[in-house]
Amino acid sequence: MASTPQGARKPNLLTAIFQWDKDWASRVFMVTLVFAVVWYIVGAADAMLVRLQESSLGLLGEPITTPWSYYAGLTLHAERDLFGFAQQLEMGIFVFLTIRLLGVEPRAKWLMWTSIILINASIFLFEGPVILSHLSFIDSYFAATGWDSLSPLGVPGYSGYGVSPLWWWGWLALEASTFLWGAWTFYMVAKSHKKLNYVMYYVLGTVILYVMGYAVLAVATNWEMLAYYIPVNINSLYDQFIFWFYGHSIVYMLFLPAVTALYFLVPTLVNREIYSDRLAKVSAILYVAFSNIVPIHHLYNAVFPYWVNILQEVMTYGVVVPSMMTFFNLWATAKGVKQITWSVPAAFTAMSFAGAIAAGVTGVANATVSFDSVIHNSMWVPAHFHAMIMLMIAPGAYALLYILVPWVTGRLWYSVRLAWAHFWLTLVGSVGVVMFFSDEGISGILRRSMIYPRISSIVVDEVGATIFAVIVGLGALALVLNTLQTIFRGRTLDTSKLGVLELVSAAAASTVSGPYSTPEPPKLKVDHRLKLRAEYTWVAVGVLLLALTAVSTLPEAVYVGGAIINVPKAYFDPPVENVTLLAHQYYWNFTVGNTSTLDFFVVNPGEKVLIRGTVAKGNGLANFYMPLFSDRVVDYQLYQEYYSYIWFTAPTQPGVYGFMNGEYNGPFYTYMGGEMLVMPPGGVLSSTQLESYLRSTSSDPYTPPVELIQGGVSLTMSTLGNWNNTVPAPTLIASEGSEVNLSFEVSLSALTSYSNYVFNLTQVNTTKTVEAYLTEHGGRLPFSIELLHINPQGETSIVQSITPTLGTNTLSFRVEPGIYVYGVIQPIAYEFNPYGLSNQFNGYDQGYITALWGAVLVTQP
Amino acid sequence: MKLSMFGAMGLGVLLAALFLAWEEVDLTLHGVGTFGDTVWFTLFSLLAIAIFSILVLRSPDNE
Repeated sequence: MASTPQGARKPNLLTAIFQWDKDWASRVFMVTLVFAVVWYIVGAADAMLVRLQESSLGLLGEPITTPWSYYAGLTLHAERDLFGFAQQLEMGIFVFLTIRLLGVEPRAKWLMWTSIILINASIFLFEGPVILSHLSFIDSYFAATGWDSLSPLGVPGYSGYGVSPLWWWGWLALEASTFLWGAWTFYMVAKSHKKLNYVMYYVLGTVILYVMGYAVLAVATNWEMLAYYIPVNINSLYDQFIFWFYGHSIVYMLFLPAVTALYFLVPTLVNREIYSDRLAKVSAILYVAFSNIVPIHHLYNAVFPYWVNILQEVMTYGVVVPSMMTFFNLWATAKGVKQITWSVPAAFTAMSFAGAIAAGVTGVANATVSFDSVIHNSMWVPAHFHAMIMLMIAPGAYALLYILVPWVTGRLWYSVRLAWAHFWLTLVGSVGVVMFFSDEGISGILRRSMIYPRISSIVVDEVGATIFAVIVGLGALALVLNTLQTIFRGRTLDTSKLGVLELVSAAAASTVSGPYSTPEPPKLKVDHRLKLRAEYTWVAVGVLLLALTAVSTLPEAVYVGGAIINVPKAYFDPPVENVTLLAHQYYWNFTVGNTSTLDFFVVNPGEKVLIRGTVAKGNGLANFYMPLFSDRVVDYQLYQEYYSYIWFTAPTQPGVYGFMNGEYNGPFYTYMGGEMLVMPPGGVLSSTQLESYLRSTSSDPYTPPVELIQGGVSLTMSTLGNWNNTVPAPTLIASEGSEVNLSFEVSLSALTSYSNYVFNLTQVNTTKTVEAYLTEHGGRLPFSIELLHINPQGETSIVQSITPTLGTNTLSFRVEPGIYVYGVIQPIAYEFNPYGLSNQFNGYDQGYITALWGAVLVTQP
Repeated sequence: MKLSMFGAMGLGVLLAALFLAWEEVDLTLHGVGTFGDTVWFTLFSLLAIAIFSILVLRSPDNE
């Protein structure tokens, strides 16, 4: 079967890499594979930037890059790896399988080539303009848009963070690429006279899903693009609703190819027919039918009535049914096959199956309204989809690649060791990344958190995820090296005379150091009625359990989401503290009675609170996120032109409770913290109350750390523009009647960091810029440090205000009952404008930032 | 004992169940406030995985 090449003329480098001397389907596969690998590597570098930034902030308290580079890295990692790598590779594999499985001559080749050009062009366009005159700003904040799910983020007039229109042109190119690929596939199927087998059902089903999903996406992106170019009104809620038709089905666009791989590989590797051909075909149809129609399960905490949320939950469970059928079918296919030689594709196939169960179940968790109310927008969500990608989709794709590369190139795998190194590094690294991400989310840490609480367990999660991500990267490196060696040095394999089983066996055998044997074909035929009974029982039991889950979680589900109908009736019966909230970019404005405050609001212990919240025009969107683990995770999405009703009972324990903006609204998103101040009776905490407060908030991640003032306390401005590396600043504890000094240390090095928003530092020589400002203004900094007192009745007054200079600045005061707020209380205007390049074409970011403030609680002497 | 393909896939199912159980325990340890929101889902999912495994184990071999 395999032979060493003798005297054959060596192809040149490009011909060898792109396999240009092979048939058209092989060439398409190799071109997409090569470009996909390139985007994978660049996207992985983006991910590594993100991981290193978070690890550095956790370990050293210092950033290695700027907020806008960090968010550009996060966004581009997703786009390059999801579209440039995964979608492009899927296209290549499916073109290859379509031609091979249908046995047709390829036609309309220009459609596929245009599609491939467009998908690669789209990845360039997503990055935004490449400014050749200032190359250091490539990959800068211009592409830090997040996703279209964050509408109207990036649209001028709606958002203080503006994106380059190339962003939407990128989406258009991607949509066009997908439509052309879909058209080509339908055309090929139409030209074939072969009956479709179940693998082709999945190929076709996935392509249909792509076309449907991208058709809806085209509506959302074009709406935003129109709003960019001409004054068309955007309704951000509707726009997000439309986006999520696509946003959910993209999960299945990526998941189904891996399922296709499993349907192809499991029967082939164990040399059996699929357990149930019928179950496979029915589940393919059900996947297509159900996975496109569940957008609202991504928007449970928006402003939809509870019954809409619950309806979407039940509809989402509909997608679970074909998965139940599929994984029963696949597992049962391997049943009874005793002997198997463990090859790398077989190992990746088993990993993909196991990953599908683990990640699939967490997907159902995410779709369950009551479960989602706890983990929505937290790192748990990236943990879930990274589990799906790293434990299921990628291993499924790798399993297939270990078959297809020898099939296409006619070369057997060069290194068994590198192949197994790839498997083990991928397995260990992926599990580690998912576990650490998941633990972070369960601890309440928001996704897209650049600045996060420096609690030791969270720092361990961040650093752990980075280490395991590096392990995954090393595994991918082993694959790339092995693939290149295989193309140039692998033993040749004459694929023209081999059937599918022989090809799979030959490819698998080349990843095994010892002898390889294909399992014996089946000898007995089993009564199909027994098989049918098992299938029906499992589907019936599964549906029953899903129904029980829906019913048992109903009591919690009816109160999730910001529609007024979802608020418990008790919150309309007095006494209720009514609060109005307006979320700006990047600060909060609360009004209680006649008192208006920025970033904090004051309530009494144990009282019912009803917040009517919305978003100011000019701030893309926001989310009120207050994870009180001893009581309830309060998590509500806020929209322009809508009111969300946020209800909760204030803790009976007086103290400071932190909350965050839970939704990305621009590169300074994690600076947008706030505090609920629960006023102690009489304005003074007893020592018992203080102990009880410290215990009750120990698991609330966004409640700031506490420091006792013993005469004085030192607060140092970090390079991120906050005090003592926490947002908000530490909660200080002072004794009633004592004299205290708050010392604010401001250094030139902190002020001149690019991540510090105090000065609009967008010049090359930042130190000179700051020094020139200080000289011009008599050494005074461009903000005030203030002390605000809130008396036990909730009335506020500024009691001190100083204009600081470099060095130590001190506020001295005698502690009275109530709560104090200290620091830079007024927002600092911010505009990022490197070299004067910010404009509507390149992108821009402007807003008001408040991250240099904290509270003082008063205790008994 | 050499692991079969079926056995390896079964091991994967077991690990997936353990992962789910760990998440629930981890969530509950963070605070009692979240317990009621998640526990029913977790219980029924673990039950589903158990029944899934039993049914596949009892179904006839794929011969």
